[in-house]
Amino acid sequence: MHNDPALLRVERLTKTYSRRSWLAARHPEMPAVAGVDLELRAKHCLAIVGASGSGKSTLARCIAGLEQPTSGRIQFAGRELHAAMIHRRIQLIFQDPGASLNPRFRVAEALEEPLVIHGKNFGREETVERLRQVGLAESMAERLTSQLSGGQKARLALARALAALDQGHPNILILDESLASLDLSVQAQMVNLLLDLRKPRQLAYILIAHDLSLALHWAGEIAVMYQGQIVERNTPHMLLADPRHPHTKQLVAASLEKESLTTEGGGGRPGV
Amino acid sequence: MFKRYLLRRLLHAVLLLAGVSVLSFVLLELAPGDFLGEARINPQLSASTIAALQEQYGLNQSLPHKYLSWLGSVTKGSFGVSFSYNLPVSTLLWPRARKTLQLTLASLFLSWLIALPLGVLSAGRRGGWLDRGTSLVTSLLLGLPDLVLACLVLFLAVRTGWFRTGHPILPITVLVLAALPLLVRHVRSALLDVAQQPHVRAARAHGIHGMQLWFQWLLPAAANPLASLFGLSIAGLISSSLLVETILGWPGLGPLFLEAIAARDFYLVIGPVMLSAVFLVAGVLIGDLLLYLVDPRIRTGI
Repeated sequence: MHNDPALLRVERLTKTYSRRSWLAARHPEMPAVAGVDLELRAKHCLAIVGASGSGKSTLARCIAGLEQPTSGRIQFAGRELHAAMIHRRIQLIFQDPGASLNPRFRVAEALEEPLVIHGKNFGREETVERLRQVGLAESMAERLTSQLSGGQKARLALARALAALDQGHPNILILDESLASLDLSVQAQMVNLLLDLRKPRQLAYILIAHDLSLALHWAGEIAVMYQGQIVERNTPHMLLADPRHPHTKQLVAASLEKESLTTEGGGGRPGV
Repeated sequence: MFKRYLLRRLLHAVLLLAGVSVLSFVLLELAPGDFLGEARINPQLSASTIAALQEQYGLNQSLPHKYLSWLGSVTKGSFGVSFSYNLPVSTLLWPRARKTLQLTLASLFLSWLIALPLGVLSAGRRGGWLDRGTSLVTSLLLGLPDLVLACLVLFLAVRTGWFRTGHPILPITVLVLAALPLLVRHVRSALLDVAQQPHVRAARAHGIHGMQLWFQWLLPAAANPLASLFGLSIAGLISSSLLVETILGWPGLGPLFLEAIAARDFYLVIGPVMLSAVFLVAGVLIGDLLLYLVDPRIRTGI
């Protein structure tokens, strides 16, 4: 369809959890992800929306290389990546970004966490620059991460994810409901920060969410996930105007209801 | 910062000890009988002799009066007078307290020396043979009361003739075996708990593993509950020591305490009670100080 190849291409991905038991050998469970195809182009934003248990987080973890898919292919820029390489091109920010920081570490140490296995560290200047990039002051560097506010922790988690990624190449950042725990104004600041970083850091985003509210504002495309499968994919406009799958209809109805409850209307930025 | 932390903790400790002393006085006063119970039914002693003895021991004083004069003796370091020995409680208490402390400190050191690596290895290879074996043995030990354990060790010692009764290794073995299950299980579960924490999972996702993960993520995060447990384990060892000493014939506080209770030797009962309370408080204090050392968040006062 497009001339430029997709940055990420996922084909027929499945992930089945099996539960080991003392008595029986293995019980195959219902697959968490059941045959998902998707692609994502560089610097684009794809939202994967679904209820809890729909398999969206498992899908994200498979893409980020944190979990081994049962079957299917994941290609990055036309190639299958080696496990160690995945983390340098695809990073995932966890559901509660604050809790993903070691509370005993200073901010500068936490920022360098992805470098530890390479035995490297940032100099003072680069640390400050990287903190500044996500809107954290230089004075924060020596604080303990547990002394930061929720919003500051989210920014630090973002800076840490960026520190893991190879610079100068198109990369992917997965937000696994990472903004859900933040209050609305901080959430908006984070969205703006992420959108600002998109071009200079060549970031494509996969936004995992359980409702449409954030996805509608800044995703170029929304995939609705239901029982391990992507049941519908469309642009935000089309999805709102013409939801096909019953689950999509539910999501749209829920989001319209929420919209009518809040005093301020949609606003926000158009999809990218 | 550290001074304030220490002062606050010490103040807590003093208040706690004051509470324990008042409570022991009240409870002991409420208990039926007193030191002269036997003498009263002795037909050879006249009522006037009993009254004189009562006067001499201060048994007919009111409770607050007793408490205050006891407090006075504490400041002089004597902790009251034992009725049956006619000696200051302190002279009876110190040599025995030293014996009990020897026992408890040796058991404390040994039990942690075994529990830490065993718990760490069990958690590291969860479901492996070591983990299952440990879990089986600790459940077994957990089900055995200290009393039975002590009798068992005594029986074995006598049957095999390896150690004469009264050898310190016997009570130490019992105390270590009694303390071990709880410690191993706590160490194991603290580590498993920590391994599930998001910040450890994030570190793993960044490829950090092995010794680095253990020493920079897992152990520091698990240290908090374990530091508190360390303090409590001192207290636990002291209280089981009292029982084990009595059965195995170790001349510590245990036998003296039992004797004092049987004789209603008021101040000689209060002495060991207060001493164990002091050990308990000291244990908790040590736990708090350890916590202060291992957790930078407490140091910075969050």
